[in-house]
Amino acid sequence: MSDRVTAELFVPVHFDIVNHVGYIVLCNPPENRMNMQFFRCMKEIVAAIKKSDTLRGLIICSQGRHFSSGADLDELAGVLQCGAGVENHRNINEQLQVLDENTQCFLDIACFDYPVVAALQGLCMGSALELALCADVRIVEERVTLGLPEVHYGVIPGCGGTVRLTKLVGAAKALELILSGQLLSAEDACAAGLADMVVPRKTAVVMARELLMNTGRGCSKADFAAMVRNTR
Amino acid sequence: MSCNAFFDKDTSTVRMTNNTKVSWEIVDSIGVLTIDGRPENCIVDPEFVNLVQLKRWSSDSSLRGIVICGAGRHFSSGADLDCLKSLAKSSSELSARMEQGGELLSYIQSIPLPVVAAISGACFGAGLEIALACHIRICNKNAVFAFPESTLGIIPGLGGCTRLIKNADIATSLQMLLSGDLVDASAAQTAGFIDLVVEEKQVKTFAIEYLKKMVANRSSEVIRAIVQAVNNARSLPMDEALRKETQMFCELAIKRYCSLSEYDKKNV
Repeated sequence: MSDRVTAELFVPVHFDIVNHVGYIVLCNPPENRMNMQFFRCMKEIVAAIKKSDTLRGLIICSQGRHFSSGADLDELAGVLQCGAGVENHRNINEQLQVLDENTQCFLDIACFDYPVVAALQGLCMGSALELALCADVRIVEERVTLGLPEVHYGVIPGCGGTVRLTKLVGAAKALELILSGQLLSAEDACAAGLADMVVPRKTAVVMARELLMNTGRGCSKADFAAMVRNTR
Repeated sequence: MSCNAFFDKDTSTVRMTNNTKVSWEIVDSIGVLTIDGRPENCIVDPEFVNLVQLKRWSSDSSLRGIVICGAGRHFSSGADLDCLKSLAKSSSELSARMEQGGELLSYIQSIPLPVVAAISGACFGAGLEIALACHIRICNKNAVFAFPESTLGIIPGLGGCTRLIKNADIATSLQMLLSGDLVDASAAQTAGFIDLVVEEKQVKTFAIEYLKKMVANRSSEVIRAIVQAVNNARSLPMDEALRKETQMFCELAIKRYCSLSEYDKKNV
């Protein structure tokens, strides 16, 4: 197979449904960088999931050692650096529009009518944590590293991270974490209320699957949706 | 008795009657607002510091954070009852003053800088309501908290009930509001409305250092964007807060990465 064909076939996020549970799998290891291609793919998947009628739960997980090291700021800087001129204004405006759509995509994930579980290992930083914050439950493996380091690059989390972290852990802890950009271990993340449980290596997805195994059985889709919404 | 607040000639001090005044100083780019009516630092007017004056102080672009504290041993023992009684003679006067006080606390909650309440000793009633409007509450081990309003046949009226429940668990909140019982520092931390209990006697000094460390190496505009985004999370509907966060991210990213001229940046 030629390189060109490989590039066309490459998809950075996979989606699968097993026993009414959806799996969003980040599959661009080792870092699962969240670049433009990632977000394009993610938006397609989320649009497809929204149309699906059979899901009773969703797991967000990844292949490889890390969940994800987050957005590709270099790529964004490249687009914004392209210089003056009408053409480039259009490029920049388009890019800003894309960032809005990314935020909307994450909001859609947070609003699904069924429980969403994030299974995290290795690095989970920046936009990767912003994605994980859209889940109802965050299961982390030992030796995970979580944080919002955007501030080290002179920017702020821009995909809902500040808003969701504040709602989750309160203003005091959120300010401390976002202003310092510090990274947390599994234990510290649990203590801060950022992660819900710590499990041994390579077992986060298993635990997520177990959590969702019997969800929604024996109640109507509407009742289930109402129940899930009430917990949020 | 008049409870009017008025300005001293020295604008860094706003004096209330009954010898409670509020002073403002800047220590290493941290603004320090001190409630000074020693020993108890009673709150005489719901608008315990003139709102216009506070807006002027806090709009200083060199500021990187704000500490609110009490002079001497206590944070504040709450509203001055004599003053409240005289205000209550006129219902329109009372509600107007309470509204101004509520507006002041809403403003404190909306300042785009990290605001820390540094608490020692008594932090009761209106004093606790002021502390609850801050982002972060730090106290030392001798601090005690209470809402004694219900024992006097009233309730906290400056957002105390609403903000307590957002920070503390429901059981402790109801217990405090209904019984008026005292809660010590460690119980307050367990309940969730105190973020940090420190050994230091001088909580004010600790809070200033804590804030300095928190914002070290951060530009003024990044600090303001982050705190604004956090404030939005507490005050705006979700979708609006999200939109503004993305917008602020874009502004910072363009400023940092874009090689356009200043004119072009404005027109993107």
